Amino acid sequence: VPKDNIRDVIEEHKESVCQTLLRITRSVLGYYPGGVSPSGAVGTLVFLNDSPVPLYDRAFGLHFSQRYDCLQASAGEQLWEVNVRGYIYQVCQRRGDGWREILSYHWHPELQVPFPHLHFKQGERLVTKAHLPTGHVSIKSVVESLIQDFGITSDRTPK
Amino acid sequence: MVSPARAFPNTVREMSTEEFKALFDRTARARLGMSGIEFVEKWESGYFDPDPDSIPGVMEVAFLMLSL
Repeated sequence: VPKDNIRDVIEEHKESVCQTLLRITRSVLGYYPGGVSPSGAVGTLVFLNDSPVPLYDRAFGLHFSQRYDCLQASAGEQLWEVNVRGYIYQVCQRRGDGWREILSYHWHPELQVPFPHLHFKQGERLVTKAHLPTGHVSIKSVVESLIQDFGITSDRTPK
Repeated sequence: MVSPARAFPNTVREMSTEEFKALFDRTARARLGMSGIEFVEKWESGYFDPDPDSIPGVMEVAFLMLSL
């Protein structure tokens, strides 16, 4: 929601992402502001613990990182809104002492393969090497999928 | 009454530049077995080209590198 105070719009974004992730993990989210002034800076949200972090069911893990800046929604209104500039959402499954990647949603326009895409990491090599195009994917929709399709409990009490 | 949503730490903790650099270094070591500095040097030399996106762990580290 656009706001007239840039710090308020950043706080709202951080809180929204935090509440979304709290539905599937208790891992603490970190925020790197990327500059002294929020105007023109690119902020980064990432888990503070080494990721992937375990989800509540312990069988699955998630690596999450997101970069964003703030733009004025329109020249006339001069309200600020958050503009997501890229993300990596990686879903992993526990295997012994480690994790095996299942799939990842990537959007990193400053790096190779600039369009939003999906990686499947299991199956035929042709598939696992592919960058399958997607639209922009929100962390909220990924969390919904993890709850609905992967059976991650949204209960906040870790097992 | 404290709602369930408040039962766990739910604030987003701000990181200093030093803390973020340390996180980047830890991620590079955990994902790729190299230091953050070594990763940056290899990235800039084209070591991971032509398709770093196909090498497990590289893009997760490279994405954080963008924020350094």
